[in-house]
Amino acid sequence: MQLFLYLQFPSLQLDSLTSAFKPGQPLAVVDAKHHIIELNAEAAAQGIALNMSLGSAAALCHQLELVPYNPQQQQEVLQFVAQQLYQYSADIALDPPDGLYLRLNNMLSLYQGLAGYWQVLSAVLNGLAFHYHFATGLTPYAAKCLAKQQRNVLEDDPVLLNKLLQKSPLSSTELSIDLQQQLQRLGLKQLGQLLALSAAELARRFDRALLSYLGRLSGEFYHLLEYIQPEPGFSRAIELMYDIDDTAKLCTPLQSLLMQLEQQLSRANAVCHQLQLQIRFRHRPAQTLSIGSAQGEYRAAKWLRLCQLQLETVRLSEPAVGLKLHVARFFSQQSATSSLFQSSAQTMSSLQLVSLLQARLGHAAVSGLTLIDKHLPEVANQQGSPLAQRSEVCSALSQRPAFLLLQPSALTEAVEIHSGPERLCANIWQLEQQRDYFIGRNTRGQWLWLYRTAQQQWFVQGLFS
Amino acid sequence: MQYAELFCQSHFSFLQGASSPQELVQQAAMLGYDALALTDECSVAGVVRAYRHINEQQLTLKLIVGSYFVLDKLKLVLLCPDKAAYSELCRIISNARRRSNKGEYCLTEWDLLSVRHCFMLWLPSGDNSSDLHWGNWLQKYHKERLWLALRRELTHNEAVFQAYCVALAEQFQLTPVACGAVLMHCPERLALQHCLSAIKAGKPMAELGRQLLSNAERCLRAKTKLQKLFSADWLAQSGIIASRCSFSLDELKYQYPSELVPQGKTAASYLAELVAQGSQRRFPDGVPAAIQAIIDKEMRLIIELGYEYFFLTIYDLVQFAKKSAILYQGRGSAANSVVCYCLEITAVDPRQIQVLFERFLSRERQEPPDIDVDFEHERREEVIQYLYQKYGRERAALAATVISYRFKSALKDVGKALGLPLSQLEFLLKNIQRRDPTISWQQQLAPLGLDLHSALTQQLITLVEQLRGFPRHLSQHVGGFVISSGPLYELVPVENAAMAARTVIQWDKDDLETLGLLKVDVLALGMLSAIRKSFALIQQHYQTALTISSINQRGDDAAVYRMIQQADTVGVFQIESRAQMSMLPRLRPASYYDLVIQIAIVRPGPIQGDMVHPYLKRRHGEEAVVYPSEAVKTVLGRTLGIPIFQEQVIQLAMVAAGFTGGEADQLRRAMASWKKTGELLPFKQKLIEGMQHRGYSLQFAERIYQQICGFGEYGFPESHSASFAVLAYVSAWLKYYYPAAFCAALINSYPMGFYTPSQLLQDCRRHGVTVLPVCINQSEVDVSLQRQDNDYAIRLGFRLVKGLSADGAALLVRQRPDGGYAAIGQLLQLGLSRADLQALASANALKAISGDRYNSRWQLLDTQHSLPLFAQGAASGPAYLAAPGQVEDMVEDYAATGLSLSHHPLALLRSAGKLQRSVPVTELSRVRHKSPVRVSGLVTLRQRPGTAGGVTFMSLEDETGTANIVVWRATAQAQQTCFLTARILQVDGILEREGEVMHIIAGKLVDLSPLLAELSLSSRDFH
Repeated sequence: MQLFLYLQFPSLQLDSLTSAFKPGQPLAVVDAKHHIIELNAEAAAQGIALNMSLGSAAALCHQLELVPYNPQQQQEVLQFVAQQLYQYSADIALDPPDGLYLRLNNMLSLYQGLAGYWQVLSAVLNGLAFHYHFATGLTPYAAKCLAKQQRNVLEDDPVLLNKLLQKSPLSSTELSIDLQQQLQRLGLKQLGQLLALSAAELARRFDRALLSYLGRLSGEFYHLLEYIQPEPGFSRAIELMYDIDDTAKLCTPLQSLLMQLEQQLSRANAVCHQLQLQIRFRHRPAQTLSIGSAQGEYRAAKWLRLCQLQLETVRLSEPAVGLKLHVARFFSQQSATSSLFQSSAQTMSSLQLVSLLQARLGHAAVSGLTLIDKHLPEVANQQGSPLAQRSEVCSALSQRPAFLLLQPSALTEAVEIHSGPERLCANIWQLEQQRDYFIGRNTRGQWLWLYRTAQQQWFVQGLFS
Repeated sequence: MQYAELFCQSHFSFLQGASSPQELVQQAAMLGYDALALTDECSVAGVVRAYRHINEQQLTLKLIVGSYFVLDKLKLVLLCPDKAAYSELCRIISNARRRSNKGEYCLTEWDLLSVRHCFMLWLPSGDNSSDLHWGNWLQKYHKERLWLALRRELTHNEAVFQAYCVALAEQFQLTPVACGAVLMHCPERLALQHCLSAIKAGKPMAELGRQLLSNAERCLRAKTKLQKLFSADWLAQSGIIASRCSFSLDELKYQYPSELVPQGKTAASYLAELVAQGSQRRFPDGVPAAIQAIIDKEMRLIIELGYEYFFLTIYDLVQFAKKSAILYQGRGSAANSVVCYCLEITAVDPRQIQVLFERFLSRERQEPPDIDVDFEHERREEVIQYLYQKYGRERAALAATVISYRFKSALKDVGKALGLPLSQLEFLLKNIQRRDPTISWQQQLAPLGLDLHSALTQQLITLVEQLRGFPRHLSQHVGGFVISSGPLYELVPVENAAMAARTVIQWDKDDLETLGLLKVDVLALGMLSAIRKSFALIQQHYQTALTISSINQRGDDAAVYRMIQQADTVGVFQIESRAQMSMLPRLRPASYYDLVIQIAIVRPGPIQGDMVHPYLKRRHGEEAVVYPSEAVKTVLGRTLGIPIFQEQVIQLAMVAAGFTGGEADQLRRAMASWKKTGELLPFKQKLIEGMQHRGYSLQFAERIYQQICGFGEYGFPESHSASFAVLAYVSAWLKYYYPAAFCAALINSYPMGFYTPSQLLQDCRRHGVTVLPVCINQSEVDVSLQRQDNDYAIRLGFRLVKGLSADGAALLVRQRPDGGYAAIGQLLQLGLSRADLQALASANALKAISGDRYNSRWQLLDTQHSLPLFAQGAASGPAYLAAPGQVEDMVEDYAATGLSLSHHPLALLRSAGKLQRSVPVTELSRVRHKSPVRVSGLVTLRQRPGTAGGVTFMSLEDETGTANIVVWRATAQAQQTCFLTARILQVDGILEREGEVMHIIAGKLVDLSPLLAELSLSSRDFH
């Protein structure tokens, strides 16, 4: 006999966010079709229910704070929970969006029975602060069916479990809504009624989905579950043989860590983008550096060079006694060479260059220039993150200067107007803020980009090259 | 200096122009322009409004009709110098529009090649190769009527483009002319123009970047400014072109189709002949002298005003309907004439109700004749097809209806353009309460989370207010046909409607009225279908032939009026709504004209104008009937001194305030649209001064003005009420004498009216009629009458079975064996679709052959049944599944047919002891006035009328009847969840009774819907 546990988390996304809101705030998660799919107790107290439309919910509670459903985040949180449980229970399978299957057979002997197992597991679950429902069952579907009814059954007596299953409503099964309705319209409302009918009679009337579900539910058919693997990543610390107070000397022990990382990365055919390097001291709290490579890197030598650059800027307040290298995630490697025949003439790709510059100068100091599609020049020219690809390409206008002043300056010299005016509305809500632009030349022969305000004041905003 | 703006687009260039035609001509006149050409893109939809505004305001501005076109990179403006050019323009627009889907157009080179009369302004694109190609082409074909239009908009690198255009003009020897490419009447509309561009592009304004106008130069600009921007020659040229344009919309003369008059007769003589024949038919004992005098008077007026063809057109139409046995009824001011009675356009007998016939056409009122003809709603299409067939699609088309931005659509589109998240917008739309006049929508924004002082909120408010009333697109009028003697496209452009094979003209009914073009309203009315079906059923089962006029001619039937006075009017035309029903016992109509008043008085107009109570008081003799003057008495005499009908208000303005006919007509139009445009204000002073001048008190004058405002768009004309009253009486008569046939006919005409089939049937059963369920072996497609115990019972028909196809139902009846169907297998053999069979099983129509729903479905699902071998036998096997219980049956009844004959949910709850102390509706009459009471029922209506000041009316239906609940706003707010979501509601309240009108003022509300779930089902299934 097999035994499964099903855990269902009815408000996974909301629970992971709750700390961001003030207590007592009604919260709900809405899906793309504007239906409520998760809600907290405060929202429920206002009369809001699952599957209610956004409009009705909003009418019931004006203070309702809405969070859009984020499937990816939901999956990550579910994975996180699974990983946490994995340390205590071996066979765990994800059942997105909000459930986990746990196979208990091997665990029960380890924990000396169901009660012992649950004592450990529930302690972990309660520590995680997610709402959950649970149930055991003889098959994965049986456990899920009971858990969906929020019955919180912890039982390994097959007779009792079967009895509960028989009484389960069809709405807690995995059958499609259509099929459920079809069955309900035959007066079949509980699983027991359905299971009592002969398979042959059912086969004459329904397609395979129903029989396949019933087969798996009763254990007649094998139900394949995909159990999770431990999370990849890298985390290793070393104690230094002796105290080091010069950051340059840290490179030697660091190199050995980086070599281990390189081995693990190359085994996984992966790269990483971000290292956390922790320098530990005897007395003071540890100091953590983040070292990044925008392109992703696995080679120890390259990482070492980036680390060196960053370490050069660090002054140790106390001799270091240990190092810890932590990499949260690996990324699969993608080839950087775009063509088979293109020889790599550059020794450094632009991404590498940016990484290098950022490592030396700091993130904030490196930016790129972009032109965006706006009439006003000071809005059209913008600084953005380096190498950022803008979705829309915007062509430059012919009569715009290459250099804009940071602030327009009042015109204080004689100019000869060459062309204009071009009128720009700086603010459509305040038409008096319009500017008439001209191209003019001063006595030194500079071509200036000038404008005149509605109040007849003149300013220089740019210089033509 | 002369200047004429030759390129100007109004908001009829949808989502481009940011000003109305009226604003544009007003501003152009103020700036001293000599002329303005309204050149909307492939459209002349705005020109009549501009024309009317110029005339009404007596502006010294010449209006030129034109249109702007884009063909790939070619941009052109066509202007109409004369009538021939105008017809040409209409033809080009029609052709370009007819090639495309609704709202789009597709111009071809051929269209342009065919131009012989229109002036052309060419707007070069800046693309050299295209400009050279088109320059050559235009010069080759249209040299003598071609100009090159120069624009100055102070845009990037404009000087270079300017020089390029001048060079093009020299190269092709074209005269340049200045134009403004106007989209706005004043620069302040720039923000709105950006907003419109964003709506058009379907993106927020912030994302449009340089696609938006960079400045506000595309407005009407002062002449001094233009002088700085353009050379004098170019400006002067605009004046020269304008002076060559002499076409005015005055010249459009409508010509009636001539085929209506037999050869050798004039329209007048033919009409007189028809009226003479008709009068003999209508008055077989000889036409009374008084009536003959009215006929003569009417005929003189018709001929004097030249409306003979109009009456002949309608006569022709109703003759077709008569021949095809389609029931119809005319209404409108001109319809209530003896001439129309003789022509059989209406059935309102002048001997019964002379009072109406004073108000036929009138010279003074200067309003166009108004005859709407209602036809059976299911057969109106036949009439429309007759029109198309008789006059051809070239000569008959529907008038347009301009669909305008209303508050919600404006808020949604502006919100999107400002980049507000869609979920926030939907939240606002759902929560802004528009019905409550005491708190404006702007004030409501703050509690909904918008900062009133933020720039964004201010912009939202400004733009929404500006956008409201802007046209969004042209749609088809419900039934207003324009028919002409020649091709319509020479009169007005025709374009495709959304409905296949429907075309609409580019003008709406007001435009047609302005130009004096007549339209014929072909409308659909469900009640006419129901009445005809009643007549047919009565003929079939009782062998009695009835017509509308035969019932009318029997005179007022006291028994029928008694029923009406008791508000026993479920299903009766016009007087069946909740509001009407509560008025009936108070007004106690006892004659035809009482019904005319009853229909018109329960409208937002009279209610907002506070006319109901004074009228009732005077009617019951509780208040003296006084008139401020004899003149007013002539107008208000028949309604005891209280204005109730729209016409009375107009007449009052003429009689008491001295309005001329033309002014009164303007007032009528302003009333129709004042909520949108606030156009009534200009009349206020004139009205009040005029009345005071004639010796009326200021108080009386103010009250009349308030009543006019109250009437607004909700006023109801007596001329329509009069025709509706005929149908109201006929339907009440049928309900009284033939309740079963009438109820069956109503359901067979559904959807129509106020009540669902379920409510109609419940009412009918309360009148003692037996109703039998849908049965595979007994039912017809329609609801039918079946002989039972010396009376007729209603047998529900297959049309009530939700999901059963019409073909399936017909097949079922056609193939039914004499002895009926005996087994499910037979049905499967018929070739009915699975969905049809399921629908039948759900409606429990198969009960006769398979016992119950569950087993019917179980048998239907079995694939072996479809094998021929099993066709006959298998049904006799024992039931495999347990039969459904009462509650299940009831829920499924509702789901499958919308009604249950077996059990009312409230009856089930009551018998299960779930309704503590709830009083059945029929026993409410024993409860004393002002005493506490508890009722429970299905919520069948939740209505918040605009006139009720925050009060919501609810109807609760239990197994015995329907109770009326009044919920005050505070009550609703305090118990919002229950108020909004309950399907079955228990109300503790105070019963109030006024005469026979009874309602319960709600106190505590309790949602009983979960009780049903306890009876093993969910309340959702009821709706």
